[in-house]
Amino acid sequence: MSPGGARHPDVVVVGGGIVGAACSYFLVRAGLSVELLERGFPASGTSGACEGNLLMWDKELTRELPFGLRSLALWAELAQELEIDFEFEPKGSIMVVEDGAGLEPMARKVAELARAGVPGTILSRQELHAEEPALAPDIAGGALFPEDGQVEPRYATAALVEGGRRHGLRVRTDTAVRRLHLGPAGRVEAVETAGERIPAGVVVLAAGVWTREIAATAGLEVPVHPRKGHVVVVERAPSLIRRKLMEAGYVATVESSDAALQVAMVVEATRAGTVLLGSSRQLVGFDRSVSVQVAAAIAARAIRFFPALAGLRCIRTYAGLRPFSPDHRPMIGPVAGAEGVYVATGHEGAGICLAPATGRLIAQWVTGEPLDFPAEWFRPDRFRGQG
Amino acid sequence: MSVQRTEVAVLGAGPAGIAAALAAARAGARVTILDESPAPGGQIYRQPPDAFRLRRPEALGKEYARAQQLTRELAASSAQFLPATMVWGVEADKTLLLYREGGGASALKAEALIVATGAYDRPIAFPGWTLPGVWTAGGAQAMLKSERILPGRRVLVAGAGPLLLPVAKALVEAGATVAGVVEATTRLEWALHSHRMLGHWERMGDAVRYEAALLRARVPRFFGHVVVRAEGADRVERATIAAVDRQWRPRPGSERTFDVDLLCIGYGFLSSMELPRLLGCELRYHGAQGQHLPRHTAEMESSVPGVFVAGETTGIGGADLALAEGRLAGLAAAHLLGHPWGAERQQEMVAAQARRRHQLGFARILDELFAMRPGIHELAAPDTPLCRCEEITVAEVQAAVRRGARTVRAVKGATRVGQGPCQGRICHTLVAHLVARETGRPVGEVLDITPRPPIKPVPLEVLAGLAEEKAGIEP
Repeated sequence: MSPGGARHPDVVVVGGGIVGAACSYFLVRAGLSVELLERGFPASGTSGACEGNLLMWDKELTRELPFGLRSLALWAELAQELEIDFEFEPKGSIMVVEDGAGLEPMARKVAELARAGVPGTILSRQELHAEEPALAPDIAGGALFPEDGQVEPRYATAALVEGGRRHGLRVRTDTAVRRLHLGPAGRVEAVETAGERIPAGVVVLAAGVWTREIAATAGLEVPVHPRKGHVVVVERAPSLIRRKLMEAGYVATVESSDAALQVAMVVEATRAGTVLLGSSRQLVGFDRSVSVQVAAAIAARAIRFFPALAGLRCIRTYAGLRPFSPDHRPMIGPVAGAEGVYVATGHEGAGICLAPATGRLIAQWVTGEPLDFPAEWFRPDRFRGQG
Repeated sequence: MSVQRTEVAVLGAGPAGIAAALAAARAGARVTILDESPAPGGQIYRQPPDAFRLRRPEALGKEYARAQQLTRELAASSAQFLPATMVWGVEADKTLLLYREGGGASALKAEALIVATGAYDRPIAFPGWTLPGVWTAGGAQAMLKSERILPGRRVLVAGAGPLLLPVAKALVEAGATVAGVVEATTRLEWALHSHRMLGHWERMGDAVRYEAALLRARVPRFFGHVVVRAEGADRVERATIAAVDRQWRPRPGSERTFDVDLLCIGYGFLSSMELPRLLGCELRYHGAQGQHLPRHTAEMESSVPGVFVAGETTGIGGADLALAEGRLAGLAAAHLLGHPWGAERQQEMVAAQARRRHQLGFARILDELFAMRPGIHELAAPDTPLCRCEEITVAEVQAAVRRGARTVRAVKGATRVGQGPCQGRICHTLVAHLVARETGRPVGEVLDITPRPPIKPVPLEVLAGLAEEKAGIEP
């Protein structure tokens, strides 16, 4: 029984990160009674250890990009709709190219994106430095994507959770799910926490990199693995960096399946005035501790592009675990081998960006409404047998 | 970047650190001792810079003489002193990442570490506590000792504990008018503890001398009072005190206001836990001191093999206790590294153990007498900032708790508390007390912070320098 004898929820969402929060929000908006279970507190995992990029130009063009564009539009709506200010800033992003050799591929990419619905402008060296005067003078060029943006991920998670509460969402923090119970026909029956068994007709697993072990308690296979990333925080430097900047090579590191450490420059200022530096990718299991060497590599790369950062002080570092699937695309939809179990994970570094579209899609799956996107695009069972 | 090697690295050159360095060096270990200050001595033995020619060194008291003696011994020993050096990170193999202002980055690989990084003033939030002109008692004392600058002319000294008296005395001697010394505990409570202090004559003697000096200067004393607010346009102009009950909650109608241009607040100290946390030392919550402290053996070794703790790092206890613990840690670290002890070292160890027990007895009495009571954590108003770096108020933290944050880390996730340059050093305990009160949970449970490098802000190029180094080694 739920505390206070309340009725059982229609849906139990497991995981209070950005994706679980968005699923919960769209599910309660669809009129369902929902209980969100979070083992720590909202955004205490990966969502609280990232940068909050709403980026289109790094998306795969055929599926992820249309999904991303929908999500970006939803973020803009949510910024109006939700009570908590989550620092939504459509500030635009700039892809920068270190040397002349990168200009030609960049121009091709900009044209390709324009055809796919992402407006972008190629910036000459002069225009680039007018946009971002702090860039190193030898940086060859760039492209501006004015519609990209950012949110404060922890505030965004809180905004969705609080927004959900206004529509009846029940939230339980400090509540880890230990087991998922299926009935004889593979129909989900309940989730089990340390202290109780919560009956549920529908369960949405949105526990990020930890989804795999929860699904495994019911013999279900969700092939999601952790890919670690570090963020380095620099003291307040008002107006040093105007937009969100990434080096063009960033896409290659995102798409790569290499286990070794990869570092690509990602730099942006927050509304608080601090500067966030990324990005790193490594496959090192579930270890969330900060490696000074990785932070150092990120710092060095950022200084390469923004020499003025060198003398500013690093005030913090943190690391998080991106949930990645074998093909680097999210897994959103029903899990094969069970009835009533859905997953929403595998967004890798795009969880914040893609959360609203994911939440909406999950709500459509659960309610049986027409789906915004073809079912097979993000079906979790596409890897069956590849696990 | 250069990597140096040593056997024993002593972090902090206050009484504990110096004693540890001397003991380890005498026992035959190669010792490197470092401090963020340009000269050894720490907070208590803080010395004026060489630029000041002292005409009356005796005016700085017997601490100064002791500091002189210890630093002379340190200079004469084989231990190497690294001045103005900050530890900002440490790797699992006990390689310390160092930064020296103006001198750049370096690394020091040690076989054993002795953490003696001391303590800082315990922050207490009340309306106006962040106004310019509101100082910590320790900060004012440091200013007087090292810069010989008088930070105000008309001063109120307030708080609880033995530091208030020497600070007030030093202010009087430097020419300030001390409008009052405001002590939260009562004379009766002092009297009830006094019989237990018999046997600690040296400490009692200090107190008597301070009392006499304040009496001569006709400094008004207020017992059982606390400062409830500070006010002023751009800086502090007025401070209001009130009588308190046994829980240190203000009694209505007992307020009185003083015109001041300096308010010194001293509610005791908190031990610096950044390094023990980063090193992974197991901590426990010490209720009377209101803080987490590392577990350690009788020989001062923490739960991490080869990492020793001494002085205020093990809890607030004063310079004499720190000296004893430093000696123990230094001897034990040398022994661990295979420097055999003769009968003399064995004797020194036994003597230091006895000395430690004796001083610990006194420290426990002070713990009990001056332990914070609930009312002191309730003075802040809804609009009082708790995190001064990010200007997060009591009301904002309360809102985060209402939304489900039950620990300091959760509040950090919901607000920007503790995310400024001080890295939560000031606000974490303030937030912890508020969260504990709002959730009904023990403070020790809600104070759940994760240590990550850099533990002190460090120029980005220093951090980046480490990458270049590694890149050179690993293709």
